[in-house]
Amino acid sequence: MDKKTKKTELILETSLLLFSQKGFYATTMPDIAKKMNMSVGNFYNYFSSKESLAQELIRYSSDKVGAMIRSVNEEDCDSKEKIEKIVSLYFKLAVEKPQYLDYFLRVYLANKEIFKDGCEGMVCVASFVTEMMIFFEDGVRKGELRDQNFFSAFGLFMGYLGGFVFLNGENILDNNLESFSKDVAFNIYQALKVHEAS
Amino acid sequence: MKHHNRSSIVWLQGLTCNGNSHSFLNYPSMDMFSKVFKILHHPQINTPYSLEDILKTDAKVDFLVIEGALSRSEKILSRFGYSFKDILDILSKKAKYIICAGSCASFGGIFRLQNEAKIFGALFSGKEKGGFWFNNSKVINISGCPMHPRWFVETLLKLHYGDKLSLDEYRRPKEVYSYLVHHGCLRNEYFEWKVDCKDYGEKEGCLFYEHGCQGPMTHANCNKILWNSVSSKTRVGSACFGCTEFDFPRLALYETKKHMSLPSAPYGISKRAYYSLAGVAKGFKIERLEKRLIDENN
Amino acid sequence: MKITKEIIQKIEGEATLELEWENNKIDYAKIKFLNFRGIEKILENRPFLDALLITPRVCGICNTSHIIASINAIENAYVNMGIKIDITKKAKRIREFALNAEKIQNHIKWLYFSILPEILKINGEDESSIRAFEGKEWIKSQKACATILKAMSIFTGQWPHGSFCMVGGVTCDPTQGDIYESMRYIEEVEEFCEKEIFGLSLDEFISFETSIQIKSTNGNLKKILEVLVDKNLNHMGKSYDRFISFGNNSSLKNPKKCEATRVLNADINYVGESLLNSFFEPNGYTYSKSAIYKNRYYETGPIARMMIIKNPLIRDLHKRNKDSILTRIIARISEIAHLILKSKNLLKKIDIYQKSCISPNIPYDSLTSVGVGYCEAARGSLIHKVEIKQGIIKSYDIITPTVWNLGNGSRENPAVAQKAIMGLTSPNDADLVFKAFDVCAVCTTQ
Repeated sequence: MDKKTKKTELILETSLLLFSQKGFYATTMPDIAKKMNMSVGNFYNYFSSKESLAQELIRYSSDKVGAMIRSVNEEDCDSKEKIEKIVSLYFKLAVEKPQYLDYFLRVYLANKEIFKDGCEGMVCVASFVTEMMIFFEDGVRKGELRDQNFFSAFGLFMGYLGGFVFLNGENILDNNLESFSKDVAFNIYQALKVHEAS
Repeated sequence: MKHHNRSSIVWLQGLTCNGNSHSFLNYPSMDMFSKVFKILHHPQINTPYSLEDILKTDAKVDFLVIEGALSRSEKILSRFGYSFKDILDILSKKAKYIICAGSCASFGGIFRLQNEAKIFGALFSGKEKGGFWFNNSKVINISGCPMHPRWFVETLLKLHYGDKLSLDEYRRPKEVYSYLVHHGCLRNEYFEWKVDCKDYGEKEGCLFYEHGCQGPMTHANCNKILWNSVSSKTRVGSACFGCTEFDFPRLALYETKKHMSLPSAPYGISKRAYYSLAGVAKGFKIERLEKRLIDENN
Repeated sequence: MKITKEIIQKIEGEATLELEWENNKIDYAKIKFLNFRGIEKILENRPFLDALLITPRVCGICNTSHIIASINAIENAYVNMGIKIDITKKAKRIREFALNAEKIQNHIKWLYFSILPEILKINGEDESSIRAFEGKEWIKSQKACATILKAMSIFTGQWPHGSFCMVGGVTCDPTQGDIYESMRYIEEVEEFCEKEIFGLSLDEFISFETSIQIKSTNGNLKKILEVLVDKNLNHMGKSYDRFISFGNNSSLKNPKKCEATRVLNADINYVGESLLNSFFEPNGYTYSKSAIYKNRYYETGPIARMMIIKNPLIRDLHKRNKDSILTRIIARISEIAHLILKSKNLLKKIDIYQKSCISPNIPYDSLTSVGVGYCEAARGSLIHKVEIKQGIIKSYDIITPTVWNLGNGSRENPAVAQKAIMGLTSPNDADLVFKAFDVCAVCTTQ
């Protein structure tokens, strides 16, 4: 990886941490530059506006989550096991690197006006959504998951996981996130699997 | 006209609708064709020899053309009083090349569905290797339902003149079957930007997502050379039904097969690549593509 | 009693005529069609729209008539379930135009591939001009057929096996330029017919009221008429002199039948199929079924259509020759002129600003109904019947023109072509009578 790309990645990681700790609106571009030991002028060479940084961040975090799901998609196991792995990895990510999912749940979803030009529809979360599409299409084609509209399945899976991580962030859960992994995966599988003909 | 240099053709029909013969009869330069080829026998057309004449002669034949699905069962398929199996056994030995005209002779096509165990193509039974023969290096498949006259004639010309003929894994000429029907479709932009067609009978919209079009997965150059010199299915707002492929006809031809509302990816394109691109394109609304192509009011 | 077998070649598909001779005359004829393909069975358990793709594969030369009969049957099923189907004049005209173009091609091929070779042979003339692929006249006729099919493909996408029909109309949305292109091709074919077949302008020809007027022309039509009369073949091949045509186009709106010259209404509900002599019954010898109307055999095809609409020229021929091969053959050739002029008319009337297709807004799997559809194919009336349950085909029945004309009855009650052949004295005569019916063996053994 060349120097510029390495630097860019460092900026993105640092930004995510600061947004996660201090909040999106409270964190300024100079704040991030200072944390990076960069001059403000030099910083603007990498990102000309907070908006463009914000959009790059969602693509970045989506890529990370996408890569995680892709690793599960490429494994040779059935849909039930894949669900268990995705849930486990998702919750692990929420605990070890909360800044990725936090950014998605608290900044992206809550401030759509920042993302309306340049992140239309699902353009900026494509890498993550594509992996979910591959997981679902595969499961239905193999006869393991029930055929339905993509969005109703996606909404069930991701709505559930996202909501759960959100609750965890609010310290509402009565136990650590990991302990819920098995039950959550079971619920998702029961809801999405093919049912025997009645 | 050099008669002695002409290549000879004998045409046989198995279980067929005769569509390939009629498609061949649309060839625009029949006078040129007859300078290069001599059709010794065709069951429907006024040709010099009967099938019996051909069976009894010792002379070799350059091209044995087979149209229609085949069977080794005499009860299922006989012609002119002979079991078809016997006819093919005799004539295939006399012939230099065996040309399967259409999908029925190539893969079994529609008529294979009557009895999938006993009715098949020359070398294939659907996708499975093994039809009337398990192996026969003389066979060339010009699949299609029907085949296009140019696919047929141009293949014969190559063999007649000794020009190189490359075949794909299904023994179909690559010059034709490397193209996809999708190449040259007038609705390409609608495919690119994932704009569904709203209803049949309009110039706008792609038929891939909801109406069963198999253009992006079907090997043929229909939209390059055009049918009857002027048109094609997709140019008149009809879906492509994949008639050159081994699994023609699929079930539910007018519906797009989807899993969790996701269609198959186009031929040779990975799901990851296709869904990423499709997802991005779908996120944008291109105003021009939402309007009618010919706007009468402006 | 002697029995001879003739395998009839140079027709669509293959048929065997088994003739029983008594006192040097044909006492009885069995018409055998083999090579069954089972399309009606193949259609079962498929979504009903699949019929639009599969039924044309019954026949390579009349596939358009099948897609039209199929869409008519499907739309009738919708209507029978109480769902309104609106088809614009534009869509109706495009459908009829496509069907006409196919019929024109059909008749020209029959004339040049099947009949003219026989006529020239009977007259001891040199056949080299209509030798397949090489004869000058043959090549001209082949080009004419390819050209009329171009005119049609502008709307249907391709021929054979276009898929331009959809519930509620057609899939194509032509521009005015497309229509001019199509017209240009028809006019080329019109010119061919005027020069080679009729010997004068088609408008003049269709105004003929007596067969004597044909003598003043100069073309293949005149030659055929003269040879048949000169060789005393003009009274051969008479049958029941009963005709039926279901119409459903701008020339004949409603089903009619004709007993000699008396025209009466007909009702599709009285059409039946007889399995007598077919392999579906013991002692059967053919795959073809026979079509009957109120338990009687009727002839369908151009002669039927012309007699029913009271075309003066055909009626004139019928006065002296009844339903002999002369009337039958001249009717089919005449129809070419009528179809070309009608097709030009249809094209001129197409309003490109009307909608091509108005789809009924109900999901396919909610359709549970039966439907009957019919149209006039080249050889006669074609009927499709479909039974649909929740969008899936439960049963499909196809009655082709050839099963009307070439059914198999009994000695006491022979079918139309059988009766026409009985009493003849030579196998060549039987061959000619048979060919005058324009047989389509593939349609018969679907």
